[in-house]
Amino acid sequence: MSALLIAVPLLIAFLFVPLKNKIKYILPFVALFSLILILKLPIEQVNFLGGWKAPFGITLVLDNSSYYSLIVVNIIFFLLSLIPQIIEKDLSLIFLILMASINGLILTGDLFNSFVFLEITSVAAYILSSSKRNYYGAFKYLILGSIAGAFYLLGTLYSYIGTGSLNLADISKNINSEFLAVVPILIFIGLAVETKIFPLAGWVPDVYASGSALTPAILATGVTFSMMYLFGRIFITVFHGEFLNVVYIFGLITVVVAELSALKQDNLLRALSFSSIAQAGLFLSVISMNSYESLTAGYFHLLNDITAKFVLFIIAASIGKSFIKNKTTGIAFSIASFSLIGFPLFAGFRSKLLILKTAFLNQNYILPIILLFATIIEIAYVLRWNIKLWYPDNILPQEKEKTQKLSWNVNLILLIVALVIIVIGFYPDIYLKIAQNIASGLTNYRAYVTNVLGGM
Amino acid sequence: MRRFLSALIVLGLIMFFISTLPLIPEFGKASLSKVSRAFIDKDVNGNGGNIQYGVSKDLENGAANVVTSIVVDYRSFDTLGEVTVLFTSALGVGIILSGYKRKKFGREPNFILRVSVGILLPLILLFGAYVFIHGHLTPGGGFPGGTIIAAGILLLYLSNEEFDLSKTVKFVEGISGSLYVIVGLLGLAVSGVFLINFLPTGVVGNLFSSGIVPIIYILIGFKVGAELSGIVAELHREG
Repeated sequence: MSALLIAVPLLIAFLFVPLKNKIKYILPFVALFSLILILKLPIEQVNFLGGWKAPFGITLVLDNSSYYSLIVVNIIFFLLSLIPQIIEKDLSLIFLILMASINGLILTGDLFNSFVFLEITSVAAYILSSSKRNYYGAFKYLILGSIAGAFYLLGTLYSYIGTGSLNLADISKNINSEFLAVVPILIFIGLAVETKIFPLAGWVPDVYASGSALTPAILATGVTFSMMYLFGRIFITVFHGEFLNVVYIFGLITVVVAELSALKQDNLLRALSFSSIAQAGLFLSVISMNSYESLTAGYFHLLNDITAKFVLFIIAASIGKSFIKNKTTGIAFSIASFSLIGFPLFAGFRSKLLILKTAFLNQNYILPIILLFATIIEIAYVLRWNIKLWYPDNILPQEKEKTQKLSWNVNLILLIVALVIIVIGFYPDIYLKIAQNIASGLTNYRAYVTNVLGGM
Repeated sequence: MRRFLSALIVLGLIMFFISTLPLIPEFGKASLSKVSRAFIDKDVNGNGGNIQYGVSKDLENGAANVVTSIVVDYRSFDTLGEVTVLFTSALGVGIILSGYKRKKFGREPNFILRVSVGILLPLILLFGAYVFIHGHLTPGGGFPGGTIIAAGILLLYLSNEEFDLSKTVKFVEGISGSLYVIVGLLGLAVSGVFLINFLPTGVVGNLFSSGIVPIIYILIGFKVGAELSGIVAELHREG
C-alpha cells in the first residue's frame, strides 16, 4: 500500500499535463490524501514491488523512522499547498513530482532506487530554483548537483561490486572493510551537495535568495529533511557509523564558515540561507556522534530548524523592507527567529540544550564550543534583522505605499506554525517523540535487516 | 590560487580512483553475485533453471532479452522513476523557455530536405515502433525506440516551418505516463502488489509473451517519443 504514496501524486501529475492551470486546486487534496494514507498505514511493513522478494527486487520499507519522516514531510507539503499564492502557475506540476519523489526517497530500501529518486528530486529542485528568472543560481546548482549525482552512482556501483546486491539491508549485512573504505567517501560526496556541506554548499545562497517564496520554503524544509533522513539511513543503518569522523569535522567547519558568512550579508534571504547551511552542518556533526541520544538530539534540532525556516523564508521572500503593514506577520517572524537562535522558552532552546547535554555526556567539548560561538553570531544577525524590519529607518513614503498586505491564509498558516514553535518550547514531547522514533529506527540496524530480509 | 586548488582537488580525486581500481574484478573474470545469477536464470522465486529459447513456458519472467527482464520487470519501479526524470526535464525545458515567440525564417526549406523527409519519415517511424514493440525479444526497447521516433519528428520540424505538434505531444505524454502508473495500480488491485506482472508470461521468444513487459515498453516508447519531441518543439520555438 505504501506504493500509493508515490503512485498517486505521479499519476495526477501525468494526467494533468494538458490541464496545467487547473492543477493548483487539486494540490491540497493530494497532500491531504497522502497524509491520511500514511496515518492509516501499519508500521513495520515491507512492500516488495513487482512481487520480487528482498535482495532481488525493489523494496519499500516502512519502519519507525521512515513513518515519522513521511509524516513530517507530508505535513510540510500540505501546509505549502494551502498557500497557493506562492506557487507559480507552471510549478504546481513540479510540486506534485517533488512530493512523489520525496515520499519515494524516504520509503525506498534500495540504493539504486534512492539514486533514481535523488535524481528526480534534484531535477525538480533545479526547475524550482530557476523561478523568478534566477538562471545563474539554478545553473550553479545544476552543475554541482549533477556531478554529485555521478559520485552517488559510482558509490552504488562499488557497493554492488562489493556485495552483489543493491538492497540496503543486504549491503548492511554483507559489506566488507575493503569496500567500506571507498563507498562511504563516494556516497558522502554525492550527498554533500544536497545536505549542504561546506565546500559544496556554494549554490545555496544563490538558489534560496532568488526572491521566490516557494523555492526556499520547500528546499530548506521538506527536501533538506528527506536528505538528512537518507544520510542517516545510509551512514548509520547501512555503514554502521563508518566514516562519520570525517563528516563530524566537515560539519563543524561548515557551521563556522556559514555563520561568519551569514553575519556579513546585507540581504535577509542570503543571511537565512547561510544560517540554513550552518544548521545543516550542526545537525551532521551532532549525528556523527552516532548514538541513540545524539541522533534524537540531532533530529529534534532539525525539526525545530525546519519549522522556524518555513516561517522565516516565506516571510522574508514575500515581505518588503518592513513590517509596517504586516504586524501579525512580523510577530510570526520574530517568534521563528528567536527559536532559531535558541532563546529560552522557544523550541530552539530545548534542542540546543539537548545537543549540549549529549555532547557533554560523550565527553565531547569541541562541539559545545562551536555551538556557543555559532549561537553568539546568530544572536547578532538575527537581532539586527529584527530591529531593521520592525524599525526601518529612511524608508520612503512611496515604498511604504508599495508594500502589500499579505493575504489572510498566508498569515494564518504562518501564525499557526509560529504557535507550534511556542508550544514545542513548553511541551517538547511531540517533536521529541518523532525524533526518538526516527533515531531508534536508524540505530537499530539488526531489526532493519531482519525486517527486510526476513528472519534469519 | 584558485587554479592551483582545483588542480590539487582533481589530482586527489584521480589518486583516489586509481587506488580503488584493485577493487574492480579483472575483465571477464567477475564472479556473478546471487542477484545477477538469479536475474539471468530467471530464478528469483526458485523455480527457474534451464531456459530454452522458444520452448520454455510460463517462467516467472518471459522476456528473452535479459536487460529488458531487469529493466521492465525485476526493477520496473526504477524505470518508472527514470521516465519521471525525463518527464520532469522536459517540463523544465518548457518552463524555462516559455514566453519566447517562435522565430520564422519566412522561406521554404531546401527541396531535397522536403522530399527526402517524405520518403524517410515512414521508415523512421516504422523502425522506432519495431524497436519498442520488440523490446522484450531483441536489443532495444522503449527508450531507444522513443528516441528514434523523436528524431523523425525533428525532421518534420526542420522541413516544414508551419509544423507544430506541442499540443498533441502533451496529450500523448500525459496519457502514456498515467497508463504506466495505472498498469502498476492494476497489479495492486489484482494481486496486492504494485507493478506486479499479472498477465501470463507465455513462451520465451514469442512476440506475445512475458505479460505486461511489452505493454509497458510500448507505453514507455510513446512517452519518451512524446517527451523528446516536446523538447524539440520547445527548443525549435526559441529563436
